[in-house]
Amino acid sequence: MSIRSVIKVLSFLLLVTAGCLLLPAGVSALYRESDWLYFLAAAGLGVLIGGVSLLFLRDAPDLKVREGFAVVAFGWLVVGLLGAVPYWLSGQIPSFTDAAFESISGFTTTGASILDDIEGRSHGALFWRALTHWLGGMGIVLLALAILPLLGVGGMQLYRAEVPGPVAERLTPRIRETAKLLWGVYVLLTGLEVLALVVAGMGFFDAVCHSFATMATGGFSNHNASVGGYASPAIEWIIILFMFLAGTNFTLHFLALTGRWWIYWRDEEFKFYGTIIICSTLLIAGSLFWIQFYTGIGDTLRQTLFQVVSITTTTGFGTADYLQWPPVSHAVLLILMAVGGCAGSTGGGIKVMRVLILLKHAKLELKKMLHPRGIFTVWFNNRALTPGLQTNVLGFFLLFMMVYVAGVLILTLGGRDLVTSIGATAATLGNIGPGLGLVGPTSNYAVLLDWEKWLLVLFMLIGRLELFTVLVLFLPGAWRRS
Amino acid sequence: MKIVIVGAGAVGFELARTISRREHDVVLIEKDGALLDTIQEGLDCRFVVGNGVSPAVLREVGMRDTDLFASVTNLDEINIIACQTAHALGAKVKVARVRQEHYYQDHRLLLDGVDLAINPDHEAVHAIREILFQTGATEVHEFAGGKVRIIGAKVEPDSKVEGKTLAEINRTLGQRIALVTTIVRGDQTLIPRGDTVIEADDEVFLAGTRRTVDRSLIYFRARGRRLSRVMIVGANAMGRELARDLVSAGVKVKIIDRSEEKCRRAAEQLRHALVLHGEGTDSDLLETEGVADMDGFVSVSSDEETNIMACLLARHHGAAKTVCLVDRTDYVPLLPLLGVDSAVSPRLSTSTWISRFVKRGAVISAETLGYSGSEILQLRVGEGCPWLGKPLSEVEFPRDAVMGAVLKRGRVETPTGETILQAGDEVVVFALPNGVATVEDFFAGSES
Repeated sequence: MSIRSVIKVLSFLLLVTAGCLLLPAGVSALYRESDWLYFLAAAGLGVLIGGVSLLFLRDAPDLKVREGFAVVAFGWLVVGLLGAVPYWLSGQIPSFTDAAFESISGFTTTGASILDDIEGRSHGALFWRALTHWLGGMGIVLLALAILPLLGVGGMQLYRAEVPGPVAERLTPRIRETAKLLWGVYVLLTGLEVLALVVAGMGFFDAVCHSFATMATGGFSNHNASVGGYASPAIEWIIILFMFLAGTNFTLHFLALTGRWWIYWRDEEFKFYGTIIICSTLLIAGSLFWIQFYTGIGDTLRQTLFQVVSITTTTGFGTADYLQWPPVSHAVLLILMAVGGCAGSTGGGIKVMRVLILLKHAKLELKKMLHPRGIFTVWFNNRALTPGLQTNVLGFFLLFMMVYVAGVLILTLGGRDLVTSIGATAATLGNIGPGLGLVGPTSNYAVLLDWEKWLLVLFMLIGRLELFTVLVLFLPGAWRRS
Repeated sequence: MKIVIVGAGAVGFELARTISRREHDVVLIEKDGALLDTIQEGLDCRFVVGNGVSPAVLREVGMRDTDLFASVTNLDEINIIACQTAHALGAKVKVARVRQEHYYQDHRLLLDGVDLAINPDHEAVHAIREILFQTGATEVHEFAGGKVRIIGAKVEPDSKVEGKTLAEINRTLGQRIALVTTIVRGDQTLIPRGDTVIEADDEVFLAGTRRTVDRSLIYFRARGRRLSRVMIVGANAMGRELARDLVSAGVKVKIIDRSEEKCRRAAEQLRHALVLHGEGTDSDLLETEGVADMDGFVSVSSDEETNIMACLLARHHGAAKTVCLVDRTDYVPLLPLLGVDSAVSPRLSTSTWISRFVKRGAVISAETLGYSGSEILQLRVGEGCPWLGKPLSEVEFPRDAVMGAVLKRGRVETPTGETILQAGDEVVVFALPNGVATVEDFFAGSES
């Protein structure tokens, strides 16, 4: 592995992030708050580190696949750490651990917060929180649709398997084109949501922040009570819709926008995604209705749908404290946390497509009992999956579960209670935000110890980068010179 | 007519044999001299040892006066290039045997030099499909672009026509039944008369429009049966194509192959078929996979003996209808005796196909019937036949032949005693092997 070329790319990322830090500085100045200075200082730090190392590494060789893993994994970490600097310098978040947690939670679009009092933060800090989501979401679109398939990781390689094997030199234009198109979709949907929210009565600043957080399936809100703080069904419906769209494969949106709107009904993953949401909503709403938790049927359905969509798309907004709901809803939500959004969306988790393939695989195993001599293949969207892709999915699921179990084990070993441990691991590994127990939707991660926070930061990165990308760096072979 | 054939394999040999019997000039080019030596005796044609692609060889044979150039070796590429060379050297009609689908699909690429690409597997799959769907049918032939259809049907015990004479059948069923033109009983082929009795297990050949022929089939069956389950042995290109065809027609298909790799490929192409890895002759496998409930059992593996054994096993375990791929002419007469319902031979049918290009006086096209040597001929009535204008009852028709259908200005009619033929009409005639030449002369008139 050529460490020099990795650092070269990371320096570029730092410069880009530094540029983005100018935006919250501007917002801060606009609202005549004093912390614009700290954003500028953080930007200056980024320029300094990035610029200096670039000067020394101008002639570093180009990236190869092996370096790709390191760039992706460390990129998120380095950018996240630089993003933490303004929170820390300005004193909005006094502890650096907390600031890093908040920033990386933002960039990984997790939306887990350590802030007790959100409403007391400056506009600059709130805007930066939302912007980290939005930038993270853009990074994920690029990552999921263009970079990870090249590295042989990620759900989208299943969609792209028919494209002939990549040739290193030719890739750049294709990645750039793909990314541009999909960012176009991303920006367009964000714009539409801002418009819809403003029309529904939300202030412009809040509308922008919430749209950023929705489209990235992040989940940072400007209110302590999250979206529930607006107490407006219209706003909730709009956010439900856009969370749903953000959890869908962006390629589908792109195809639909270019006139092939029926593509949604052709896509097995999308249909299954819809089915999961409908079934979970009916199940939870049924249990709520049974105990008369909400007065009206409309309220019950909206509240349930909001939490279900918010959790399964891994956004993490809240309008209700689901911890007060009957236990079955906790079980359903815990399953949804693991399932996550569609491949190629900004959502996290195992991904609907992988779950679907796992289920199909399980069905085939049963069929094999009936026809012991049968040769079976998993079909997805009218294509036969190669055995390689099937084992890849099985491997992913296995690793996900292992990391999950390890996380719960380590947290409980430190003395944390079981429900909180399970909830916190699921919520960070799946990039959701609110978990169960002490880290439920109405509380936050501030109560956790510093080492626990760093562990969860690691989970956020692992979950965000589709496991393999980060975990492969733990293999000694990844670091050897090839 | 001068005909040049490249490749003396099964297809080339059969083609040379059929054509050379009709007094045409046949040149057979084969690069394997030893193979040529072994087959030389049975054939009356010129033999050239050499590479059919080589311009030198083709020049020596003479391409300018060649009317039909057929390249039928095992290799698609050789066949295509041979045709292109022949084209450049001035041969008239060029026919190539092309089996791989990707060559076959893109006609434009082949067009340069190749007039017709024949895919024997494709033809065979079509034939098997027709046979399977016509649950009573053993053979299906089409003439005049599908207007005239000829079907071979097995007479089942307890069917409506069993034990009756043709005259009786005509009286009771009249227009509802298509014309019975020929009967194959054991290894005999009969031209039926009014007093011929139809027996169980006879294979009768019906001629007429597609509608009448398809509808007539019920009179030869004990009971109707819908095709809903088919088992295929052999997941090769043919087996897969057949499976794909059947699946898209709503049939449940199980496909068996002994090669795991072929099975895997089949499983990746056939979403709704069940692919099984095993021997087609594995009785246990056939039984556990429910061969007894199969409406059709088709064996198309490359090994003919396996195909025959698999079909016999399937029959034994109760499959309703068995179709077997056999390319060895000497096996074919045995199959009905063994109890295999139908045989399909891609190689033989390739040669039949190509021989259609050979002009034979009044003959428009010809097909061989059930490997008995009998032929179905489509002929045009020539000018100056002495019997023109007389009703058929007054005409002395060749003894070893029978007329199956008449096409007047594109309309299909059933010939009767009153039918009067005009020059330019077309007829479909069944002829026993020794009647073929007489029939050709009969309709040629002054044209020959």
